[in-house]
Amino acid sequence: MAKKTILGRVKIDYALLISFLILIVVGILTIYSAGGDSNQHIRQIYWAITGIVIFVLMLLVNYHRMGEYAFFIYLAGLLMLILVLLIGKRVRGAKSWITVAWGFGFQPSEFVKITVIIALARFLDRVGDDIKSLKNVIIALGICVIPMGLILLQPDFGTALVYLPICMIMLFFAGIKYTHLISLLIIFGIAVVLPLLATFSKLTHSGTLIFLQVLDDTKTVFLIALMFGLFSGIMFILYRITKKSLLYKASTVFLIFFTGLILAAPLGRFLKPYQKERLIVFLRPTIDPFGSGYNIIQSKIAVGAGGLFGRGLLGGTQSQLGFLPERSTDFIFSIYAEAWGFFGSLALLAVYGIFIYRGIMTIYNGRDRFSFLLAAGIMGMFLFHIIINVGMTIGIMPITGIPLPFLSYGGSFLLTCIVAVSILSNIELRRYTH
Amino acid sequence: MARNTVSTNQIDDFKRRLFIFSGVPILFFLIIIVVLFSLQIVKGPQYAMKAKTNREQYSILPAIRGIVFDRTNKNVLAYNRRSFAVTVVPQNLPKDTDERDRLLERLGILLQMPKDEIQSILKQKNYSQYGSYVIKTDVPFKDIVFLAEHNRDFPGVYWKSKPLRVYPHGDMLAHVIGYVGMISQNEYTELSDKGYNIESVIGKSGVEKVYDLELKGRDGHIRRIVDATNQVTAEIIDRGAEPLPGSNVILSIDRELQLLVEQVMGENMGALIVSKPYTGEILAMVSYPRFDPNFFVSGRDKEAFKNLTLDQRKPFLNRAIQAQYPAGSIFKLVVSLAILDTEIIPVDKEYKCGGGYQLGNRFFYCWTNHGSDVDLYKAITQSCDSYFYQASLALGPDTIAEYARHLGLGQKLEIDLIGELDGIIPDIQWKRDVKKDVWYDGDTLNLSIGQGFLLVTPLQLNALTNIIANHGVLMKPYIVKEIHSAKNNEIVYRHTPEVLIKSNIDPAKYDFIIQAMRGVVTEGTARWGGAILSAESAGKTSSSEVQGMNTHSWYTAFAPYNSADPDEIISVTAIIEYGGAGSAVAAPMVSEVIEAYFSGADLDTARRNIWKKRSSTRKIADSGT
Repeated sequence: MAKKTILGRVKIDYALLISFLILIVVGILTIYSAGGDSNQHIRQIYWAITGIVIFVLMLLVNYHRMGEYAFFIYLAGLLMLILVLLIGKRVRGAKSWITVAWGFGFQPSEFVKITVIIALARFLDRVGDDIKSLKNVIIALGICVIPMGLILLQPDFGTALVYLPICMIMLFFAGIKYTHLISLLIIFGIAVVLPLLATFSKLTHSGTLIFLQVLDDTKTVFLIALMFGLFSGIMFILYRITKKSLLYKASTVFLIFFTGLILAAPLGRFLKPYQKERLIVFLRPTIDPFGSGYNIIQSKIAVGAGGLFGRGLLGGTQSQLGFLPERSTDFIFSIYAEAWGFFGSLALLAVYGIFIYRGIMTIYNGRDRFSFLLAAGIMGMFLFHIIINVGMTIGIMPITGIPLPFLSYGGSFLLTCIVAVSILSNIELRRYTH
Repeated sequence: MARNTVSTNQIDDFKRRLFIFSGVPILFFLIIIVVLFSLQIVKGPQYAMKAKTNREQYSILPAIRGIVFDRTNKNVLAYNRRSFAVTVVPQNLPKDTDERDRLLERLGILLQMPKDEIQSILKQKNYSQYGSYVIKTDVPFKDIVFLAEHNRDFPGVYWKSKPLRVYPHGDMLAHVIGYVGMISQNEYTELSDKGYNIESVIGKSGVEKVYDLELKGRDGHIRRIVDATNQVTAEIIDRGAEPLPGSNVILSIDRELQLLVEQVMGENMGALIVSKPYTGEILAMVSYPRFDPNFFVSGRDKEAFKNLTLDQRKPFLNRAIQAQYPAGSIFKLVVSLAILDTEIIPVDKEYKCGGGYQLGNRFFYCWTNHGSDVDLYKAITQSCDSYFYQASLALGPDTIAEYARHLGLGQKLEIDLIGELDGIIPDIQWKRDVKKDVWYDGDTLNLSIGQGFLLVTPLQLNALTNIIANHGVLMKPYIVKEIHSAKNNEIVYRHTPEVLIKSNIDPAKYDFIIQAMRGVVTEGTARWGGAILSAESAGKTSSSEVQGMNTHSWYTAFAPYNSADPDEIISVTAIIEYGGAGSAVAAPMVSEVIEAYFSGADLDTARRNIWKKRSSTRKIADSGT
């Protein structure tokens, strides 16, 4: 196809654009109604305008250039994360902010999500079908794990967590073997759930389950892991002797458990008791109603009190009387749901639905491997954020402090989301050009 | 690689994966919709009722802060007294603005503060989860009684017990203990995850800050049930919500010694440190001028506070660790160890003094003419500059700097206090990087007598004394000895002495230095000022020059110098800013401290003992460096 001017072949995805503009407007209104800090909605408007300018500027550049510079983009991201550890400002316990000038600051861990997606897309595009080999899967994981580690040092567990699903979804689209995928899911499952089990049993059974308490001790977990490692080794040696494939499979299963446990041991030590409590308290918020469970209880009351039609933009007592903390950021959905009720919530989910549908179509339409991998990573990020955040406000997901795309107050995250949408539009726009 | 160039097989796989992926949002959105249906429609009325009766309010019950004791665990250095704070819950104030204004007016008259001040507190951005604001602390009991009797006239106004910090000894040890104050906005955003709230009282400096997490305890809260008219119908403290007192902190400081040392220092600007080389514990630490930390607690004496902050002499500075001075002649001990260890110059090598040394077209003066036969021992005892000028040219600046760092200078000593400075050990590279200039031999000469670019903290010179007294082992200095839980006084932390530097210089070389430092006291520059009756000490004087000003007066000593029991030894280091000669000003002060410590006598007796000793030796008026 001949090269044409941009306008000549423009194929703007209006559904995607309109849905994301609606979401931003709804977000500003909701932040206004939350009214915690009276200037937040004004600042969000400035961010949105800045974002839209960046959006348009980015459309002018072919996104394939990003692929060419992926390595440098990725390095720049890592440098920002190192910089924030050195000169960052501590907010809510995490050293996550860089103040630039005039009190204007940003959170590198948000922007780095995009740089990692670009780098992964580039890498997975290059390896092509060789992603079936375990070595390349491990390199891809490594690309994610370095920034994750730096973010964990801040420490910001919630934000670091986002990188795992992004990586998994991109690997999935790159054509990773199903056996590899499932093994990874089991390993991460063990690594994340195991450190929390002991805290959960402590909270609910007042520590009667001695068996689970054992898991709180890093050394014990480490020893159990080594035991699995040993089994795996023995099975493998037996397999080499007898050549029975059953032994090989057993060896692999033990190896998976070994890896999961080896990861669980340091994580269990890294997370402080109050962090663990906050992660699992959603399962039973009433055990600590004025501590870690307070937010969830108040959020559920807000959502529930919204009823069928809601209590109006400024009519919700949960938001107006300030029962809900962090209401313009983490719990923005609760404020929305209290104001607009079940029907309003369905409408919002519908807009998100349209957005996600268009995003998935972008993956489908992507004209080459780099394009659809990029789109897949971005959609993975959006999906994870939406599901975890909304799930958290209605008490079915852990509190991780992950914001809701387009609605939550916060410049860094809003700009990151707009840049992500801009890349999606860019892919859609250039699907016929060469 | 474009997708249309790959096999249909792979396209099928891609489509299958896209199909599976699409299932994720569909599945989760369905779950979310079902839960929303359950929350908003099935249980909607129930939650709406809860929102209406969500009239529980929480008020923070402050924990009692841990007590600070001296090393005896008996003498109290900081404790708390009962006091009351008046709080306001804006939500419970009258809705009618006129009525509300009248109430705040009445409250203002009662608390003796303008109405505007109350309103500005209520308008603070930092919205408390508990919805209550502390209006005033340390309210007299009679006012609280009045509020209690007229509580119907003051809807939305409450009171609670809020202990206040007291420093019974006023400005004694103020730099070490530090002080507390209300948490600032910045501190709150940084620490809200660690059990702090907007009403927290937090350590702002010294031990109060370093050990804040141990001292602060855990705040509790009280739950108020409020009816539709905002009247409190019940107050409940939930199980697990009681405040827990903070742990008690036991310092290594000896209160009696500290009082004596502060008396010795008088109103001389400077610092004095007493420590034990064997463990690293600090027995006393003085910095003058001082401040009274009680000023910060009530925040009432604003005039006095202003005067303190404007004072040119910087009373908040802990000169023992936060001020840097040229080391002067005490640094010759470092150069001497370098000479002994490198063996570049034989110990008995003699240099000519002649009142100074000619380098190129510049004459570097010595403080007096020591004749033509100055060896290392004599150079130390008589503090001969000319010897060190010439020896340093043989050593070179980088070797001297290397030994200085090896002996703990130019770095933080990791004492458990805040704001410790590094000092500066200059070498060729340093001058190139910082001063953008090449190193001259004249710089080497200045360095050899502890002048020029070299800067040290008093604590570092005390550490230098300790590493010598210990034959090459430097223990990490510390202030906090133990932490005891408030509940049963159980020891929850005990400091274990920790080796900071282990020198690989032959202990015999240290013995030489120790003998020379003993010589300083018996026959050298401190034979008058360093005289002590009750212990045999070894020391070194220093008068470090400051451009155009009187010299800083330094003396550092330890005693007993030849003890078989290392735990018995103490070291004392003092600097008097612009005090003059070390032998004349700092040395007598240090000697008084050592005399009083070992004789157990009061200061006057100690001073008499020292004069007895001085008159028994030949009195020579001298002003050594």
